[in-house]
Amino acid sequence: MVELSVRYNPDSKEWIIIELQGSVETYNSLPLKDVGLGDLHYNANGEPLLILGHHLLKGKIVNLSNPIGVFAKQTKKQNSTLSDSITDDVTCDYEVVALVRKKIIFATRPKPILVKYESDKD
Amino acid sequence: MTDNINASVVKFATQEEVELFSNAASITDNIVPVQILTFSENLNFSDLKLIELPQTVVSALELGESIVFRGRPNDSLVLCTSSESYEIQQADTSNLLLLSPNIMADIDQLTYSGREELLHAKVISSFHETFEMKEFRPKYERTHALLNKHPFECIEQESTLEDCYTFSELLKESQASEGELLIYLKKIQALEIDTHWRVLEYSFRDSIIFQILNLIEENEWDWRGFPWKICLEMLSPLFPKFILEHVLCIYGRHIDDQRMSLDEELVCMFHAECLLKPVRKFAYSEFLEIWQQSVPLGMQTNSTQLLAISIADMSSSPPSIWYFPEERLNSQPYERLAQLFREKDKWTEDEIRPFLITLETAKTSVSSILLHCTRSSLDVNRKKCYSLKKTH
Repeated sequence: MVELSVRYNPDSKEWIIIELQGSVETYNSLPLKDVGLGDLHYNANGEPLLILGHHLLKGKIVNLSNPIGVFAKQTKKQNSTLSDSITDDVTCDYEVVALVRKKIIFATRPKPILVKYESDKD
Repeated sequence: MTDNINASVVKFATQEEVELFSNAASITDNIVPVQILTFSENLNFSDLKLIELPQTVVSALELGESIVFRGRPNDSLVLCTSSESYEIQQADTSNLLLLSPNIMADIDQLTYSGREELLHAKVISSFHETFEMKEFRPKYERTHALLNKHPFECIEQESTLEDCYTFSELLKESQASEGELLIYLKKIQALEIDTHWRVLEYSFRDSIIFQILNLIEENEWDWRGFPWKICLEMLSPLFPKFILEHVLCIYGRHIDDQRMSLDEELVCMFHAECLLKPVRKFAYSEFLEIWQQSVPLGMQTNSTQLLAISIADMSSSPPSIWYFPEERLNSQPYERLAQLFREKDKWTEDEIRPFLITLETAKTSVSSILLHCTRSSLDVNRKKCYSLKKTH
């Protein structure tokens, strides 16, 4: 039998989800860690625009009808004390670290953009 | 669109580079600072889960209620608040979801403090799946089975507490919230004895009720107002007082300090069960007659009291009735219907409703369960009948 407790400790600021179709890869399958994804702009109508590599995506902001909880699994602290008979009942096993109430969805086909670098110009 | 978009390994660090790309994309009406999105150096792929929260769960979390996942190791994941339980199920998503703690989506909060300003936001995790919470009906058949492993018979025989369960053990086994389990335990007349929840062994419970009814009859007390304290004292040599009180509180109601009245419906149901239990089948009309004779004077039996404890077959000849208590049935709708239709091929709505009513939830009604799992047809008397859909 298992009982895992959930602690509620959300970030005071709501988190955001960006939804893209397909997947994101680096040119040479390098890990994504610390890699730049793109630039997020808003136009005069308040619509989000994402420049991702050599692509432009137009998106929209969607308010979620139910919030999404971000659940983080807590790694249990090892009980290194001598009294190993004490079972640590109060350790929580999951924590809701944030709530997401808004998504930015980019569902349109990406538009290729042609960038002219200074070095290309003669 | 299934194209894989290549993230640029080039970092857009400077205003010039950002402008180079935004000009190329003809973005000229930028009204707020540009946000540079970067995957975090501590990119976290497996430790986080996205779960959509119903409003009731959000409120429970905000109120600081204890929220837990409960179950046996191979059970589906069930989350319980203090009064509700939900099954966690995967929601369909094939899109890529990027989670960020600091992207600004509210443009009112984004204003330029200087012309050349760039903001930086991190993506800390990416997902291809989210989860949602579906209404869940606790596995009460497990609760029932566990409590009946070792029913309480009498103090003398209580030499061992083997196969006895505490409230928190029952919670985990049944995947129930505290509120739901308490309601169920009350319904099946369980009681807490020294931190363990127990049901009374049937014949032991029956003998207590008979003793109470006999005493009322012998003393010619009115069952609508009998002196319960005297009743308690007179029977205390036979049964432990706390057990007597437990039984009295189920079958009676306090009128005032001195007097209690018996619950007519429950006492009639009790007599029906005592008659039906030992035999396989009873002729319906014969049963009704004997039943009325067996209840205390002034009590009126009624066929509605037989619902959910028995099945009557009016199409057999002669019409018959047999014992079939609801508590034997599975807690999942389709399994329960399959059990019911094994007993009898065709049911009218009035007959089957009492066996399904406890499955009703805010979102699921008896009618919707029937619509989902059964077919309806008209019988010889042109009455609407239900039969089980074979494929589910």
